[in-house]
Amino acid sequence: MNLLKFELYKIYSRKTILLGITLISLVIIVFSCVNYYSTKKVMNNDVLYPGSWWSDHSMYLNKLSSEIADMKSKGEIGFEYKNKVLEYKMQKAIKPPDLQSSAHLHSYFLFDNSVVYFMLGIFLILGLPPMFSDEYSTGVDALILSSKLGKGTTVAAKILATVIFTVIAACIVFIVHIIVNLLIYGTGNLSVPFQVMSTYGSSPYSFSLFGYLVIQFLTNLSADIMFGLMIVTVSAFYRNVMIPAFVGACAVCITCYFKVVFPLFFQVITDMFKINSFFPDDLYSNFKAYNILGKPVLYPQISFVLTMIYAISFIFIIKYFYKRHTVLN
Amino acid sequence: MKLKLVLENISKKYRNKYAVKDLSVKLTPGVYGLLGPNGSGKTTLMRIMVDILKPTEGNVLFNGENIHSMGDRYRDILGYLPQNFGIYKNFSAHKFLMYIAALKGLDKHTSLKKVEELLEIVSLKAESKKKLGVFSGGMKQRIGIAQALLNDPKVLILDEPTTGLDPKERVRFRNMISEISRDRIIIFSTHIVSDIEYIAKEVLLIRNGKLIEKNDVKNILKDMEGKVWSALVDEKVLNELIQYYKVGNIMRTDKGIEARIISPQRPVRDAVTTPPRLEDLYLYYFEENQSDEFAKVRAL
Amino acid sequence: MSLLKFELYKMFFRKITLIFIVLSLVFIFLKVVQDWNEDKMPQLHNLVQEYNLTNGNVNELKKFSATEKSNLYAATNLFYLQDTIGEQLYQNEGLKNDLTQESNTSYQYKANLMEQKMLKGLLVKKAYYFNTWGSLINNILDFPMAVLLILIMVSGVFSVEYASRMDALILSSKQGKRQFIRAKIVANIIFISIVFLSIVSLTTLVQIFISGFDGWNSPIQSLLYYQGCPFHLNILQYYLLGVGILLMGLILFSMLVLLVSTITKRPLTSFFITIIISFLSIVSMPRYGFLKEIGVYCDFLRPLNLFRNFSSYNIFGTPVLNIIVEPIIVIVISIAAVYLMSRTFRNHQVVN
Repeated sequence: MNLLKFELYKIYSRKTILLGITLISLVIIVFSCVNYYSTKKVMNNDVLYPGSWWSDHSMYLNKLSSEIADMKSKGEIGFEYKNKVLEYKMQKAIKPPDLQSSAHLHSYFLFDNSVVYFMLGIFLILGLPPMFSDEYSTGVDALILSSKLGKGTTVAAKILATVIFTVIAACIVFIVHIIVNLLIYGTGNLSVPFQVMSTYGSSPYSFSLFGYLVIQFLTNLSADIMFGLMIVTVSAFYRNVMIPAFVGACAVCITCYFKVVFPLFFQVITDMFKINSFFPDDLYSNFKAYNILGKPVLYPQISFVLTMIYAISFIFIIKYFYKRHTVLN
Repeated sequence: MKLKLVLENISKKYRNKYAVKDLSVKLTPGVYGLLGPNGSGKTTLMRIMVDILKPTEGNVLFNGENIHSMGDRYRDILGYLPQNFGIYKNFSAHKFLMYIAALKGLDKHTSLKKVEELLEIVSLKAESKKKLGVFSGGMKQRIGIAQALLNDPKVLILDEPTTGLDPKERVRFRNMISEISRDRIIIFSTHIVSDIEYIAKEVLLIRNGKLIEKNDVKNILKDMEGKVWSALVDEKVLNELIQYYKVGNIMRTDKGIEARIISPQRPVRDAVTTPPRLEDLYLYYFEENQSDEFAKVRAL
Repeated sequence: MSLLKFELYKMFFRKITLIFIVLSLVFIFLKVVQDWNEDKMPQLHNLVQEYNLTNGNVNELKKFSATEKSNLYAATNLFYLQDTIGEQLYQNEGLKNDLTQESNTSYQYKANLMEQKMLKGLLVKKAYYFNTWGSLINNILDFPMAVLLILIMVSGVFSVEYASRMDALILSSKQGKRQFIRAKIVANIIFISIVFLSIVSLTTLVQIFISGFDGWNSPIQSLLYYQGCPFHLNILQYYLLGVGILLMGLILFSMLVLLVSTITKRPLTSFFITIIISFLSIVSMPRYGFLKEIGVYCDFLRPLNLFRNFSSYNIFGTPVLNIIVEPIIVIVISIAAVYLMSRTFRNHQVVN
């Protein structure tokens, strides 16, 4: 516990962290204001009525039902059948919307998190690369590795500090974003189904706008933790702090803006990291399931599991290589 | 024209503390040793002399001209070895010296010649193609010395140049400095007093940012004559001596404990005067709380 | 010259540069793999020809789903040609109306008149196929992340000298001030030019190899969102001009990055601030008040902003095209950055 406190102190005692959080908060505030001014004229008083997608939903449900019946009658009860049955069940579970309620179009901006996630990624790059690199470059590694708790316990403390730092950073950045947007746009009605946003019109998930906000945050948070561990893994190999920082920056750029086709194994990283309503994400915008041992498993579930596998792999790599680190100079 | 480096009322203040206070000194060709404890302002003073740190007050004049306004012309005749200087780990020794030569404005032909020459002088010719990242501390220090001499400087400022050098290398360094000191102003700071003893024309004693003495070694040591004593004592007497006097070298022999004591009067009955050394001078001027420090070490 | 060689050596032989090169090659390779799967292109090419011959009477078009049509916007204007024609006519009508309403001595009138004259004869009337060039324009001229990564690579140019404690040696040597700074700036320009032009050349060659050279002389107005472009350019001219502007933008903006690097002592802080200011400048900023000045670098880092629509500045009541005014503003800011950078480094105090 003591070591963990020291590791957290090492991160937070740097003036650059305060500078970083201040700058990021300012950027988020400026962007929110800019969004407000640029859309004010176009979207003033526009509202969304939840019922507009409900009619399409009913038609789609009927279509699915007949496809399922058709497949059953033909005896095609393999993966495709199970897939459609699962989708049908999920779509059917979506409760009918309260047609009297409405949601302000401005609630879109609560979900326009591309800038927020990018800034968060950059903030993690500011805080995490020195985790091991600084120890090597200052020569403190010789002292640490030659002490009783200098291997296993120190690495555990560093990993835990990475996770805590990431969680705190994500919470701060997210809270600033929410508060600024709520102040600008007001709360609106966040209890309407999130299918109200057109890009999620055909989504099979029964989230409200508020529920999706939470899901979005948690999804991104798990990706952030994995990302933070990745940066620290690179840091464990290099004295030069700029290398893990640059690798992290490349990773952020790839996840935020590249539209290159990646195999699923890597695509899940981009999808978990960057989700918002303006760029239809593959995680929650549509029904997508993969065949795992003949059963359909939802894409978000696979993504989450893969993200955790990556994170755990990074932890093992850090532990393995740090314990074998040799002090050269 | 005879070289002259003049420091006029140099002060450097950081917030509420003076690192250097009202220091004035005139330097002519020869070797000057800058002696002082850690934190006394030696490095700050040297940085001011090199014009990489601006003094809060005062001027540094080279041949009557302010070094800051001289700019490139001053740096053209300057050689500087900082304490804890940086290197590029991925550069080889040869490449690094060539780079510094380029920074010093030497043309390629001259650079090559000087680099080869200096690598020979500092005994690193065999390692010239190796990356600096694999060099030991002593080897890096020798590279540092070599780079300071690339442009044949008229003013050479060396901040703890013998750190990390083994005795053989230190002797070589001292001899090299002596050789080149005839028509140059050489200032170097060190904790190794024997370096100053053998080659310095004059010693500058600096404490708490102030110059407390500037004189040649012989004269300074003359002032110490009759103040340095040698005595053979037992443990009990030694403890008492440590409490009340400045005690230098302590050597345990079969006959007893041979202690070297600095004191204006005879400290114990059997003490005899002994010729003073520069180390005694250091203790005399700079060691104020020696008794406390010794007590801590003995407690361990 | 010697110092310049060393500075270039320091910039090119860093691990970060190697990582960037590897990543760029991987990305180009992945794009090749992705584009090689695009089997609809020969079909599209024929459809465009048939469309122009039959005056739009092509049944095959109905076989394309809405998703497919939207994915092919960078290859041909076939699917949005009618929208383009409609918008151009609408724009011309709008300009005519505005001209009747404004006083003919007002700045707005002069700007509208200038726009109307420039748009004359630029109406798109037929379908074009330009797969290679559409992809290149998207991948090169609107690729903020590549721009960001290049700027990040130069972010530590001065701060790394402070961090490695070379500053004392450098500043105490004869050429360690003026000439050193000059060498750093020139090395920075050369580095950016080589890295950027290599990536552009490689990507262009690969794309031409995959998709051919067709469509280079299509008018710029045939591209999606460019219907309001007032310049008489074909796509190839636009692409080359855009690459030149982007290169200029990178070099000029890097002067701001170098300035940050001289001020901050730690490379990581310099890196972070570079990302923030680059991000703000690269992402499109609407033209409101003070944000217009921040947005001016944006047009040089995303050249499509300079060409998509008519834009002018009011200079003593006369409309002057943004493509004339903005380079001047950006150059002035960059010169000021160079001056400040030079002063900051020369006056840097070696404290630790």
